[in-house]
Amino acid sequence: MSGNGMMPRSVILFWGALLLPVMTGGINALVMAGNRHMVESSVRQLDAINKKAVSTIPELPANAVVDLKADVRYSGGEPQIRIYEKSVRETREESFEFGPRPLKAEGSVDAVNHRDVNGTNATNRRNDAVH
Amino acid sequence: MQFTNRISLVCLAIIFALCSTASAGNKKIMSVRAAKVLAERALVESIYGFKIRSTETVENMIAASFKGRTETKTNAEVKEIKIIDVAYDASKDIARATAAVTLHKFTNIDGVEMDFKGRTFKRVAFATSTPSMAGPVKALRAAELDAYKQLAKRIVGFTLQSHTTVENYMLKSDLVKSKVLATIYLARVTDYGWDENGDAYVKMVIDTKEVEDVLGEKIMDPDEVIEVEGNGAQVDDFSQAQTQQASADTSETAH
Repeated sequence: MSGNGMMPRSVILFWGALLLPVMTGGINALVMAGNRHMVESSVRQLDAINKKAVSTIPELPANAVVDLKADVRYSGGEPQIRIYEKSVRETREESFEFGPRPLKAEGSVDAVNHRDVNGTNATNRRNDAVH
Repeated sequence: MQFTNRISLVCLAIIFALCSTASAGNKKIMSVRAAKVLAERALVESIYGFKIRSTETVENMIAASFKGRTETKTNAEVKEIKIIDVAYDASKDIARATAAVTLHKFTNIDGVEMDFKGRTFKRVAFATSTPSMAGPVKALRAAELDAYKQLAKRIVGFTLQSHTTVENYMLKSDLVKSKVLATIYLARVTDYGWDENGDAYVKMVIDTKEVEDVLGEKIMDPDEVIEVEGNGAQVDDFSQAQTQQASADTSETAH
């Protein structure tokens, strides 16, 4: 207790009494769960109801962008969806061959497609530059 | 050294004496008073009703993008409310109050006159004046609001707005929003508490038959008992995860 270089017992007891509640509080905080699983559950519910709403649209294309507004009401515990506004835009994926291709003559399909807003076309402008 | 020890022991005794004197002050009174007010509010929400507005938004079905907000509002004066029970946990500084009222005719938030025929309503609330002890109390209120929101969704319904991409017949929910705007009354709390993790739950019921009797008019699905369970958390680990995800994204971009 006195003068032997060791920490007095009273000081150890003092700090022990002070730190114990802090330490147990920290452990409690670690054990406690949070709101993350609640949020994840809400996200799953929203996803499910939206998928159900979209799947009620007849003749839905294989690739599309769908915007909808709907009223959802429950009857007998099951959601009843009434879509009151919708827009379905079909999105097409086209394949093309990337790389240099030989230029075609004036009047061909490609030349017409290259025509710009000024009425000239890319082929003519390149010829002008050479001359 | 012995003298120093004695001084430190005396100081320690003085600190503990001061602490105990301070805690015996107005802390209990404040907690009890807050619990009484909250119990009265809960009773007003049950009988008079309240407006609830709730929105939820999620992008690309990633939980980190979820935004949810629920607000309630009520304003009524019910003179007959009595506080019938008060309890106080001194070790946690948490007070519990039970409010009760016996009513006959009463006009609710929608201006509809209801005849309760002398029925008694009770609601319990908890409160604390110590911020570090507020976690369980806040979680319980969050669970209550969640239950109210679920009741509103079940009774009144909600609007759904979405932007969805369909790829090779597979649905991808890109943006989904839901909105609820309703007035709710006559919700009864059947059970409440905290689970072993500290998350709160509140079970609520609206008996449409009972509502029909009180309102004196026919409503849809008269035999349906709508029961929901609301949940509330003490710890916001969702925001923590969001922050961690954001910092991980930032460091990835930097590399």
